[in-house]
Amino acid sequence: MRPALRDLLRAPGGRTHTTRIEATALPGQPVGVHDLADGATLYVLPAPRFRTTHLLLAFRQTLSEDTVTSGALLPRVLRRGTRRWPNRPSLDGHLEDLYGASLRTDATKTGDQQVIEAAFSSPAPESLAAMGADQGVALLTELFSDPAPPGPARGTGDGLSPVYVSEEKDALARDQAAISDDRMSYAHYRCLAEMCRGEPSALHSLGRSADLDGIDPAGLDEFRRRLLATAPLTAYLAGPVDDRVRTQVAESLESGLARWTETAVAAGKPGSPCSIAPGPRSIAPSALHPRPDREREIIESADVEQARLVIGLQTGTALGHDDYPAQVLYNGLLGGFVHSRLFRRIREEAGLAYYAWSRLLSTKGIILISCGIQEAAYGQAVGLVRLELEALARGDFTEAEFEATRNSVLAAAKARLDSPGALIYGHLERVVAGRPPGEIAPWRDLAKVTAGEIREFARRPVIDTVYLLGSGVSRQDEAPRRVDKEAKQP
Amino acid sequence: MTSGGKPGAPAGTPKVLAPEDGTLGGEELHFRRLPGGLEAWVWRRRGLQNRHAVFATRFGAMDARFETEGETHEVPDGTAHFLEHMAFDTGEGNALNLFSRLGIRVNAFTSHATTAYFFSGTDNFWPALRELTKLVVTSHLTPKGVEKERRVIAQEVRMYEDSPESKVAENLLRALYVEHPVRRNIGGTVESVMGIAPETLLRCHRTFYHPSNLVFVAAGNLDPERVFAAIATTLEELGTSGPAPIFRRLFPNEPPLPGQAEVSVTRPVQRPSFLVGFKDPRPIPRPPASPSAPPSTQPSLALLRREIALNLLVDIVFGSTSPLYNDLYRDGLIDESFSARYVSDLTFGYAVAGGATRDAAQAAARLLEGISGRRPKGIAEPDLQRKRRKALGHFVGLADSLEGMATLFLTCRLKGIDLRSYPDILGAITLDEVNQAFAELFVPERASVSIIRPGPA
Repeated sequence: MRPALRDLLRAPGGRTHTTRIEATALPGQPVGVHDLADGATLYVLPAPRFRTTHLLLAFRQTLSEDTVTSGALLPRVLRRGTRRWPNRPSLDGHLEDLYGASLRTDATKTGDQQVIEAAFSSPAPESLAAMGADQGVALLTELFSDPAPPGPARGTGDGLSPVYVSEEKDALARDQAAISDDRMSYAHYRCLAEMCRGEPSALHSLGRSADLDGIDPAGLDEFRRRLLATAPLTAYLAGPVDDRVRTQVAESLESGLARWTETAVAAGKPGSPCSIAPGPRSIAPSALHPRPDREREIIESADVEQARLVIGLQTGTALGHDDYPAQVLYNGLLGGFVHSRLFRRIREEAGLAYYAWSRLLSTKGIILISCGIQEAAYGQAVGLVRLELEALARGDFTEAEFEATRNSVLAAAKARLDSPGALIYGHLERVVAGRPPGEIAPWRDLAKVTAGEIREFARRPVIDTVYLLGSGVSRQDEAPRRVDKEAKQP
Repeated sequence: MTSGGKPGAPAGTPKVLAPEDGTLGGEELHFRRLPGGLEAWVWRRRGLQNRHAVFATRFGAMDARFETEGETHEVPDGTAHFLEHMAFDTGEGNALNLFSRLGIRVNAFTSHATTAYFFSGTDNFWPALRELTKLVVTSHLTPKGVEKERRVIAQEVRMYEDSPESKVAENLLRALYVEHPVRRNIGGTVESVMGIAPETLLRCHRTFYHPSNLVFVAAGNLDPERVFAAIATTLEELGTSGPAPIFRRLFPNEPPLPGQAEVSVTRPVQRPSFLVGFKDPRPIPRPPASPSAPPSTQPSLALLRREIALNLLVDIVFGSTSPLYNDLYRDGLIDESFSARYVSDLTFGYAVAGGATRDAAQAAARLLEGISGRRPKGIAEPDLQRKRRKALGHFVGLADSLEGMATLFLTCRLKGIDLRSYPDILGAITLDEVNQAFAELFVPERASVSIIRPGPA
């Protein structure tokens, strides 16, 4: 028997218009911690609710001109194969045999750090979870330890394959040359590079094309050995895993670390071709972007249909600071959601843009505002952004806006529990900021933020850089121009 | 996870599933026909925080010519997409704000065959469901609201104009198809968007947004009875469960072969890109003449089987384990952006492969050459087994994504396909049928090439 429709709606608990999200109802995600060695930690996020097991090994280095390009290149070369699976057909065939497991390598940028990572995930109905994790940790350690050797036959020679290095250098060069093809992300990168001139985070995560000629297989292999022996390692295991699996993964990583350190010691002995001293696997946390002494305007030209406006704010507050939760809500009021000021003013009221939002760079104390506009509307759009920043700085927002933002921020935080990727990378971001949490429950702090605390915070952000990627046409310039002019003190 | 068919076993006959309760990906699946003929499903995935709901109408960019109330209409490109934007204009302000206040993320998309409206959130599911139901089945658009939104849409169209990925794909469809409206641009152009009248939008809403032309799917830890009851109550309150409008889509006859072998344009980009498409010659059942008569399950089963078989084939031939992929990669003609898949709907189908490259003409030529070289040899059983295993694993992993599973299930339902048959059909596909598809589809006369070269716009 199915109950009558209307009865169901009237049943106790069937009230439909409660809108405030209560923090007490929100669960947390415990984080298991295994210290593998100094500067090497495995974090375990046991989650029987998932049908996929996830592993991540992330080595971190401070972004620098000397190593950023090697850091960008290495994960691409490693993805080509290992000693056991020396080419893509054999390696990817192995993954297919593991029910279509996925293996991804990458070099990304978080704040001032470059994260050189390899991630494995495999579908894991309970019967396969242990198998997936075992195979995954074996494959990930092997990927870093035993890359496909240079010899033509399986398992011959030592070091990196010159063929793979050369092909991946070419592929990286093409990617570097094409960064401007994605207009939005290029505009973000350019604004940030101008804003953070002289800071590590001004570098692009793909590195610099001028460095590529100077990188050979031996040099890149030395970079690999040095990374394995000296860079901090942050590893993650998430999914339907039990104690036996986590112990096994921890042991596999411990023996991998021991091997990497030994190799470095051997390489560092007199007469050895390269010298690497192992340890100490330490790194400075990502640093705050300093307060600008003036506001800058940068205008660049390209052949674009739509102009891209990016405004960088300096806030001085990073992940782990006491007022960081207030900053999250501030950003929500400003441009985090579709009820936020930027979306409403720029898209809905003025009809200037399809997208208009802001986002936090959590370890740098920076907020980036982004929208795509007709170039002729540049002045109007910047004016609207200034008006909203000034309004918020005066504390001018309503109770309804505050409640909407609070709900949206808490719902987003809670939804992270559904995504292994969001859990892992959210935690890693805290590691980069130098403050790894023991439990993933950011809403606990977010739910406590009051409207008064947001008003207090809202006085601090200042415009650092206004960046426009335009075509120059509507400003009637003869030739592409570049402006870097001083504006009035904010 | 269960798989009915044994991999490698001779072709079985997968069970035809009628719309009724069952399981999907190891979780309960519930079905109910609601007032007005709305087809509603709840996938009760336990253990996750989010809950997801989506309504889709069988009205997309390709439904540009139709007959209703004794008249024939042809609407400008971008009409379905414009209507998607206008659905959020509720007469009491923009519904986006309303959802946002509830802590709910709401969005919509328009494709060739459908327009879908969806939300996800951890709390406030019930008020959000009521709002979503209202915004889909009723329209409050005004000429003033249409004028304002026109400018926003023009910016969206310009954004896609700057994207080489969108351009190369649009051009491919225009080369493959001569008459079929899948060659129409989903968002339209700035000019066509300027020519869309409020009355046109209203007529399309009246014709295509009746509950009988919609499919609803909710996913997450939800009581299915309560979901069905909530939607039914809202529909009855709004008085939208009256008789279904009668309409007929007008599809021109499409020749079996592509209209153009190659389309090549320059764009202001640094890196060339290419796509090679193969037009599927196989006749696919037409969509139902009347929305109240959904396609019978048997042709749709054939359609699902074709999709699975062709996607296995495409992965074998173009995937990263194939000789073709590795040859092209070694020569720098493809990179990690390369992808290949088979796409189909009730009235069209094609396979497509491509991505960024250093030399688009050479990449396309080498890809066609490689296919022609491999076709006589066909594919071998171990390759098929491996891809079958991979596909099964991906299906299992899909249970971790409410949105992914709900969207896939929904797009299948719009074609009359029941996704629950997936593991059975996957197990039943034979080497012979895959090889036959290879021989039929991947021939040079079925191919079109789309190329973007760096140059002026």
